[in-house]
Amino acid sequence: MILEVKGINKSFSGKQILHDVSFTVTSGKAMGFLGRNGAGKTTTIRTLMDVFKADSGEFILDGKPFVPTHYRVGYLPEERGLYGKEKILDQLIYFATLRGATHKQAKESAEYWIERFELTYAKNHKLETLSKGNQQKIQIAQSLLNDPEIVILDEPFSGLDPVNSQILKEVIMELIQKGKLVIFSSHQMNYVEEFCDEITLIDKGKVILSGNLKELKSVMGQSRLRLKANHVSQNELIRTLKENVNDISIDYDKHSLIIECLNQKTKQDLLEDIVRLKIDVELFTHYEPSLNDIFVMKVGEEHA
Amino acid sequence: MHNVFKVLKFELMSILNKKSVQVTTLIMCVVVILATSIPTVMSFFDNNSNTDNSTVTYDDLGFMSKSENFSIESLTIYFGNELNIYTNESKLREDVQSGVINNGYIIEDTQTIRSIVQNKGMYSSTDQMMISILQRIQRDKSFTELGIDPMVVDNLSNTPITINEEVLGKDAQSSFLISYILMFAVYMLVIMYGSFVSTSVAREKDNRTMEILITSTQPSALIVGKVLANAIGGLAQFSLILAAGFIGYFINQASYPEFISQMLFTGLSWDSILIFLIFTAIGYLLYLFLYASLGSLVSKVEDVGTSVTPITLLFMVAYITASIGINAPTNIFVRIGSFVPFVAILAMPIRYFLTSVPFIELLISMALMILTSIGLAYLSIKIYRLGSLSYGNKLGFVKALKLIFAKDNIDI
Repeated sequence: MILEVKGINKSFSGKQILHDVSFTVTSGKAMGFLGRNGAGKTTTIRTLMDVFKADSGEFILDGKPFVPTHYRVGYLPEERGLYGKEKILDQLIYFATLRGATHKQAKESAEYWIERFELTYAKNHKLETLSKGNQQKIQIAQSLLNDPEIVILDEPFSGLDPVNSQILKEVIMELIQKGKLVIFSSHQMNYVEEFCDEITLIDKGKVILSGNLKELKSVMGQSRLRLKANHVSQNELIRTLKENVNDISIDYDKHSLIIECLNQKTKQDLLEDIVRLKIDVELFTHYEPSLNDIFVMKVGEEHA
Repeated sequence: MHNVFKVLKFELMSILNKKSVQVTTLIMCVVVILATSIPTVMSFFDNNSNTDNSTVTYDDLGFMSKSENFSIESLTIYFGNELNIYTNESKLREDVQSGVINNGYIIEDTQTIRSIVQNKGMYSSTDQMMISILQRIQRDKSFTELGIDPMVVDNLSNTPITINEEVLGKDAQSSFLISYILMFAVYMLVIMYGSFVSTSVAREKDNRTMEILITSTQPSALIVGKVLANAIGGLAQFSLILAAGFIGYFINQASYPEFISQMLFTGLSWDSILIFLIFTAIGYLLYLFLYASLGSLVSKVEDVGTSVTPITLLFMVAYITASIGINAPTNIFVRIGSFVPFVAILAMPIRYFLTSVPFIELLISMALMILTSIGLAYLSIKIYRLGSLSYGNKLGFVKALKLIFAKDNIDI
């Protein structure tokens, strides 16, 4: 399945929140929808789920307009909420039957996910008796009922401890392996990087980057190199390079310097400069930006 | 439509499983059974006092005559032979003070009595009794002086007259009590369970389940299912309490005065029961949808109270109209009211109980109520759906209406 989001615009009381948001999601690949708080992630997801109507734009699934209720869609809203005073199993069965499952299917599915999230002991407890993290797991379970074809998770990792985050990562990877169409939003880049194939970056309601994460990384790291020298501090190294080498811009992180070649300067040229300056090289390698770097870089560019 | 039943089932189970609902129902049933047993309890005490009263004596009264024209012995006809007769006023006063007697009567002349008591209670029937006895003694004496036998006068003035009434339409008198009871029952039903509906509708916005629900099924299924579940839950609880009332009544039936049983049941005919049930059922749903509409306006359960106040006021109008109707069922105000959907729930059955109502009027009133209910159901669904667009804010009713009719971009 291919879901195309095309030119979504949405305003609230005269203030435009989404500006021509467009991206594509393919089943079998996890799409990370990333952005800062208030960037428009939740609004985009809500318009996709038809909680709001978009002012303009369309959602196309395999060439046809996408109507959420026509498919088995699992949805975890950003505003978490379930019935506090109902038993966990009962309400999960209820949600599953509302989405078209028979009572038997609903019960099987609900029990499977309760067990998967290690909460079988609590299945007949009221939701409100559980800890916040465990309630969160039940909410995620809710979105996975009925073997959905499309899974949309809005900030699924927020509020989970590392162990539970790991369980959720495994679940998402499993969904991807099964060929489901998975979209999840996050502002925590480190969680996403490990298993995300595609990313869409959104800032101030505009998509600033969208595509395959590996390709993006290599494109964005193309003319950059990591350099680290023995017996020289980073500051000294930066000074040496700045005084003696032209057409480079120098950045650094805690591991090494990150040098970008400008104005048709090649990696070969830079290597020659390093040899000429007799720098005792500890590390000289290509630079692959982390998702966090890409994010900071792109958002920085937008704001510049 | 299928989902309406799923929502209904879930919501109904959630109502019935609530401990608070179970406990309240039990307490109310017990209270009702106890209340219906009051006449039995009262008659139990009455019987006790009756055995005491079987030998009624007036030994707590003292009498003295100061008039030559009045012989104190003539009182023995009325008070028996053991009269406390005094000849000395100060002795009488002493006895009143010391509590030997409660009340002393000194007959000054044929038209004046002096009553001497230690403490005067709120109600004293003996003064009145003394007055009428003296009047009677005087009357009989005057008749005798005129040569007329007082007994003959008594017989003549008490000729028994029988009235045989034939009521062609309805007998307002016999339906009065039952009308009042049923009106009050409907009032309780609507006010109590109405607020349950609005709370239940607001609950999902409050606990943020709404977003999952509206992306899982149609808002119409949610609202209609909820309203029906609360309607059924309310009726079930109410029927139990009513049943407790009937059981209590039948257990204690022997202790009820005859006229109460008559007033309760002679006014009831099968057709009036049917009309009552139809109008109550439609009106009940109508109000529940109204409660659902206003419940949809708020996003927090604690705001429900203020949001539904207008309905309580509206229902008060219906209640007052129906109260007028009980006393004057042909009043023009009541007749008009019986066609206004929000008022007809009470006014039309009351009119039907107490007077004859043409069939066509019943039909028109019923049709208007059904149409209004459907309109309100539609409105409540729209407002509920609209609520997802304005999380957190309390939506004004007028603003909600404007939004609904301004842009028709809300799917139901």
